[in-house]
Amino acid sequence: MLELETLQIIWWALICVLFIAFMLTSGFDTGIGIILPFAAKTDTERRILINVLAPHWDGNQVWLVLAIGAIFAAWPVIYGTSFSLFYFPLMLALFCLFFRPLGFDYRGKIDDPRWREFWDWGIFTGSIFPTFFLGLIIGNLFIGLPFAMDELHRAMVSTTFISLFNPFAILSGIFCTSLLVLHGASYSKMRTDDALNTRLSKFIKASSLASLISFILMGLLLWRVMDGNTVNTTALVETTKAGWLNNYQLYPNLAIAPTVGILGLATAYLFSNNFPLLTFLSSCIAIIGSIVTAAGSLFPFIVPSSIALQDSLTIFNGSSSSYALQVMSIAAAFFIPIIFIYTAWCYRKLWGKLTTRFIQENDHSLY
Amino acid sequence: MSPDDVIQLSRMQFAITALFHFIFVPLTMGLSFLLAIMESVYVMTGKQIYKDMVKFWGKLFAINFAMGITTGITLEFQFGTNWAYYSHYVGDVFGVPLAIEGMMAFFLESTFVGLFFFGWNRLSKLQHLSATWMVAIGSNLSALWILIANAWMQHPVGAEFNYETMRMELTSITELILNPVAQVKFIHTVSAGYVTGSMFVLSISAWYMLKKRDLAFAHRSFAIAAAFGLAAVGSVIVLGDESGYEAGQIQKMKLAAVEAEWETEEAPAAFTVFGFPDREAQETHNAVKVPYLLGIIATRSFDEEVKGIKDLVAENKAKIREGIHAYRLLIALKEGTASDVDETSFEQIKEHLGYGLLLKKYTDSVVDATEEQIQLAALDTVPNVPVLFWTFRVMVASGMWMLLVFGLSFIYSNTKKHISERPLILKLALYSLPLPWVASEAGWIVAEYGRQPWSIGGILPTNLSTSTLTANDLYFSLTGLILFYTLLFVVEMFLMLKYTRLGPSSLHTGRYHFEKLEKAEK
Repeated sequence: MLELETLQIIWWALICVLFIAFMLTSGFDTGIGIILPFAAKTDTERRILINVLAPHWDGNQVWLVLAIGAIFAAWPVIYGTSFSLFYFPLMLALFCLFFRPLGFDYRGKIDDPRWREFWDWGIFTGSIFPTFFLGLIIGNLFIGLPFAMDELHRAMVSTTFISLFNPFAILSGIFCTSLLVLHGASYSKMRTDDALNTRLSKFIKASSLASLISFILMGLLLWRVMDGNTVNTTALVETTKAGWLNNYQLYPNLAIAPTVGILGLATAYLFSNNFPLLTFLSSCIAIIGSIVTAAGSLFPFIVPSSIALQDSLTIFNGSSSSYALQVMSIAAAFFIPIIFIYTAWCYRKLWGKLTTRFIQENDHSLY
Repeated sequence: MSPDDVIQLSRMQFAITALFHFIFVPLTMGLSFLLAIMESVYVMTGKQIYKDMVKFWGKLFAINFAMGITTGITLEFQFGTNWAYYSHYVGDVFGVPLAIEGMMAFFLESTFVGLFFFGWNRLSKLQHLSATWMVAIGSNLSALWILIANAWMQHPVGAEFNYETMRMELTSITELILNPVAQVKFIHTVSAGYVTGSMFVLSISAWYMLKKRDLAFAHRSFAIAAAFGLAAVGSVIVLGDESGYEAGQIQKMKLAAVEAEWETEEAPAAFTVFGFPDREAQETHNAVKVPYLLGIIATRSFDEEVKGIKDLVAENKAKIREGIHAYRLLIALKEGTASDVDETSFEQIKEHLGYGLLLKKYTDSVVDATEEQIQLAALDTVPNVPVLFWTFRVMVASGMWMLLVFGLSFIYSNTKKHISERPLILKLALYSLPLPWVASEAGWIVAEYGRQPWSIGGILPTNLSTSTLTANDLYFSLTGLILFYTLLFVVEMFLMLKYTRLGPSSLHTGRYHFEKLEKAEK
């Protein structure tokens, strides 16, 4: 069978793929959730937006569940350490997330403006805060976190919520939020018409610009201001100036990822009015580019420690055993293609523009 | 080692979130199957009323399903946020079935549920029926993998401790899957889900008939629920008995605690039907016993004995001593001062390392534990006997009662006299509505509270499993969870009651009670 190191790299790549799939799918329904109270003025318009995502949000969300499940199984110590380090943002994200499935499902079940308004803001809260916190968490991985391992290999964590709000991580949170707004707006632009459709262009323009600026600013911070971790020739972890850009010297091809990310955002900005499919594809490319950029810059680190450098968790010291990874590789090779097939079928069957008339005709069966 | 209150609060939080999640899960499993059955009947007969049934019960299913999803995310976060050392120590084994569950089952359920709700006009009859079946199969497969993971917590097979990585590592996926505890638990739990779904449909249909509304609709629903529920409750009871046998073989302490059997009795042991277990005195007052019964359930024989709590404690004391030795060797191995002989003897006794870790509750330096500390740790291996004794009996009594309700409902829904004219049976069915939940929650307590003091039986004590959080972190999260869960539960019940009262009229087909009334008034 495969070497442990090969398996570790395969699982690193696979978890990246799961995150990409999550951002590409759940990303658009989350983005729609964020713009819902602002882009859609009337109840019917809001129902149009919600029903664009209605049959898919649940399946989409499973990409996140699966990504977290894969982290648990493939990187157990990384899962435990990072989740307890980020206790507060995760708990807050969780509380906000409660309002999303219920918002989608319960909103339309009672015909009362206050009830519906409540859930609109519930969906908004459940979409914007988890997204921002996700960005904040990923941003903090570049800063390093306060933990050390004791003699039983138990992670002793000491973190405060406030310390997570550093400029880089906040920028990362803003980037993540605006990127998903872009994704949600460009997806719904393909599937709506009339005034709502026209209005969405503004959201695409603003969000692609905000993503572009924050992405470039983060790059500048990594280059000129921040330290980053590298592994030296004796396998010890070192901190150096601009260390997170080291991988671009080792693997020059990696520069494709940020380039593609920037191009995607720029394209979305330029063609936001008349080319919905192109805008959406650009948004997809920007998502792929930025996730690969983040993962590629950190590689092989996942959770660097700020107080015990050598305890920093990487894909090599944080992974499961060779056997467990093999078992899961076989399962993934079998099931993930099947998931792609039926998910694609589901989207194809339910594709089409949602109009005001469609909502009125199906008043009692839609969200 | 975390402070005591962090451990207690983490456990409380896990229990609250798991018990709350488990209000919605059994209903999802059961209703999804009933929906698939109803829709199959619709596709075979082409009768509109069956389609209306799928759509109406599907609406109630949706209200419940959304809560299941919502509360499920909490659990996935929680292993990492609150049980970090657990995640590290057993993630290599425990994480695998969870990841496979996501790929194989949860995805199936969640993708096809979208087609179930929104695909009526876009799919052919057969395509839609397949989507519905996929939801049912997905939710049941989901339970399979979760219970494989849970069974490993009860009876850890197919894995071994690796001192270099300081954790349990998977050695055989087949052993993990074929864990006898998993097989029994899976069928017991999904059948309990079918019972829950059936009781839900049965009770609500009975209420419509008592109100003399939508009789044809209610009668058909009632009949399907009664038949399916009767089969399911039978399966729950048979597999529950099988659980008893399995516990007699594997989880002896849990069985002894559930039976409040303090002393080892001569074979075949008597079954205590009723009594007042006393933890201090280590005896059961006013016990009413049925001779031979426990021996038969637990050993399927007349000559094997069922070990009592006191003897099991003595056995565990010996294991703790072995565990101390294993711990000493482990430290030497970690520090690089161990010889080859030490390594070999560690490999031989490492299965008892977990018993040594039990002492961490009393001392940081396990190797220097005093006799008194060993005694305390050995007593800790006894779960809370009165709680287990009573919750177990509540579960069994609810099960037996439901067997009666489904039995009567099944018989009388097939007699000449229409069931809607038998108010007594209908009332019986209506008022039994809470019982499946009572039984499920009690079952969870027997299985998981009965596993204490272990998070992984014999391997990892619960005390060591937590994250290194502070009590304030937990007060914050617990407050938030209780607050939001209460709010969401109120909202859910409000909607559930509203749509239950509306009944099939909520479909706006013009064929049902309230709409007919409206028409008549006009």
